[in-house]
This record gives sequence, structure tokens and C-alpha cells, in this order.
Amino acid sequence: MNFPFAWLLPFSYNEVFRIFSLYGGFMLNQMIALLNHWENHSPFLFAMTVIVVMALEGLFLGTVAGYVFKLLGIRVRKINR
Amino acid sequence: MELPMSGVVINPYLLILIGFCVGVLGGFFGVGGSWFVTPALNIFGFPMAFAIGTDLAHIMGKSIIATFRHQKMGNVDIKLGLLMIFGTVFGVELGKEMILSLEKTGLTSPVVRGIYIFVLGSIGSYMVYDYFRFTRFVKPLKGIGQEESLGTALSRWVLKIKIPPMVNLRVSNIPSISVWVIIFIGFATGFFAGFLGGGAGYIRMPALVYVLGVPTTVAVGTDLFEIIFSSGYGAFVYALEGKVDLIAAMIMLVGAAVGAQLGSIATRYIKSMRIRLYFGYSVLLAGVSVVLKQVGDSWAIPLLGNLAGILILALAVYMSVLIIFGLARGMWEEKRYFSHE
Repeated sequence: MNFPFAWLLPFSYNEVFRIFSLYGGFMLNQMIALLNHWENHSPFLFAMTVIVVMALEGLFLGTVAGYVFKLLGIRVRKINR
Repeated sequence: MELPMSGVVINPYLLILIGFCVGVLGGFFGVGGSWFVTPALNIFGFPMAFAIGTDLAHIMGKSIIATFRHQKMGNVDIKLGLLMIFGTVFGVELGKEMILSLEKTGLTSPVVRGIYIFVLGSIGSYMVYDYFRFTRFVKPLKGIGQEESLGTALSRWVLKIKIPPMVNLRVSNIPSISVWVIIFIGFATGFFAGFLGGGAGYIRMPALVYVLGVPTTVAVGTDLFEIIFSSGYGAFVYALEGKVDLIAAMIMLVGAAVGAQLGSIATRYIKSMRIRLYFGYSVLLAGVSVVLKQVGDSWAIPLLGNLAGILILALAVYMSVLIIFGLARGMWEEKRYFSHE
């Protein structure tokens, strides 16, 4: 897989990918470990996390998708009743 | 990909596809879609409790997206939704209590499935009948677009009940209605949600249309608004038991984010009566799949159980394609209309 803007970077794509996997993977693993810990030791905290994460992700993805739709020219008009 | 919380190995693209399909159906029909996602996740290896919990969590996120979109189109009657929640809470509790007492007799599964089949069959048949009655007899006499203002005999009778306090539902085009009627409808649909499981959007949406006389698109938007709370509560309860795979729900929500927007926008382009027809067919076929499941379990034919799951999946994919096709055609026709002007 070639990174199309590799020439802009001071280091190679493989290095970029490695840095991302290293830190991204580390953070993801820590997050999952934390969730698993809460799941087993603090069910209330885990349940609250589920609700908050779903609500925030819904709002974020909804906003992003709405913006993309707007860029694509899919307009939403209020219906007059 | 192995999901770290449930330990299930599944292709993430499959999760995105499931999310996308249920997003389209949810945004278009105003339902949570647990009748489709739970068996689908179960077929793809999720234990049943994880399938229900993960489904409820993702339905909550998806309903937020779809409600916002419907809100922008003026399809959410927040006053109606909030009033219904009062009744829904008590209805769900009563339904749950009845299930618990039924469990002592050991007849829960056949009784629940029997009622489920009756409810789905009745709603689906009536909606399909209503569509053909309208297109064959009413539309030629009254003209296009009259279906919303006509209401039903039941909704006209319900509006005559004048037990105070009365409220004005501007978004739903209802000048005056008793609060008790709204709470009762919430109670009745909540009862079915507690008794039959899921969010009971397949009952609430037709109830809003046929009993209260709410326009179809507003019924869809308001139902989605209620589903945020009902599925959120369900997800919370399942998460307390550790039965939610958050990573799976997050992946599914990526597909649902796009699907829910498309489904919601499609309600602008596809006529109200056609929404009811598609809904009626979906509910009828969902009923057929429950019949297959029940027959398969009663006569120990596992093939019928698998066939029921496949029927539900095929139905969801087919309906999603049909809705997206309707949306694309509507947008193309609108573009052509404006370019001619």
C-alpha cells in the first residue's frame, strides 16, 4: 500500500504507519483493558461508559455524515405543515 | 477480527453492513430494528445476551442520528414523545411483570411467539390493506396527498375524547387532544415492548398513525425520539450485566450513521402511503419468520430456524435497497423538475 503524500513527509510511510500502530494500538489496548476492568469490577461505570460513548459517537458521526451529505448536495428542507 | 469484549471473531465490514441496513430501515420506518439485528448477530456467532445488549447500544446511537435528521425536517413532535414516555415506562414494567409470572408456567416462549405472530400479522395485514384501499378507492375520489388529513375513524373518535388536560400538538397537526389518551397509547405500546421484547417501534409507529392520526413522517420521527430513551435504558441494563460489546456497537454505528441519514431523507421522497406499505410488508414477513422459528422449534426442525434467520436478513437487505432506490429516484426527479423550471 502506497501513501499518496509520502513525498511530503520527512520519513517513509512505513515509519508513519509504525508510529501510528505503536501509539494508536497502545492507546486502543489500554482503552479495551480499562473497559474490561470496569466490566468486571464496576458495572455501573461500564454501563455509563456505553451510554456516553454511544451518544457521543452518534452525535459525532451524525454531524460528519450530515456535513458530507451537504457537500454532496443532498439538501434537507423543513416540511411546511 | 476478534472482538476483545465478547471474544467473537467476525469481519468488521459485515458489522458495518448490518449497521448500514438497520440504519436505513430505522431512519425510514422509525423503528429500532432489533427484530433484524439480534437474529443477525446471533447467526454470526454472538451469544444471544450479547446480541441483544450490543444491538440495543447501537440502536441508541443510531436513533440519535436519525432523530436529529428528522428534527431538521420538522418530523419530531417532542411534546408528544415526552408525554408518551410517561405511559411507556409503566407499560414496560407491567409487560415485564407479566413475562415473569408467565415464566413460572414454563409457557413463555410459545405464548410470546403466538402473540408476536398475531400482533405482527394484524398490523402488517391492516397496513397493506389500508394502502390498497387508499390507492383503489380513496385516492381517485379525493386526490393525491389527502391521506394524512383524512385520518382514520378511530383517530377521529379518539380526538373527540375531551378528558382534561388537553394539549395542542402543532407538529402533529392535532389542535386538541387529551393527555390521558397519549399516555394510554404510550402505556399500551410500552406493555408490548416489555412483553414481547425490543423497542416495539413496529407497534408504536402504526399506533401513532392509526390511533392518534399523526402524519406518517411525524410518527416516524417521534417514534425514533422515543427509541433513544427506551433503547438507552435497555442498553444500560444489559451493560450492567456486562452483555454489551462496545467495540462491535461502535463499528456498527459507523454504517448506521450513513444508513440512518439516507433512510431519514428517503421519507421526504417516498410517499407516506408507500412508507406504510413497505412497513406492512416488512412486519408481515417478520411475522412469517417467527412462524417458521416456532414450527422449527416445536417439531425439532433446525433448518426452519435457520431459514427464519435468512428470511429476516434477506428482507432487511431487500428493503434497504428498495428505500435507497426510491430515494435516488426521488432526488433525480426533483433535480429534473427544477432544471425544467
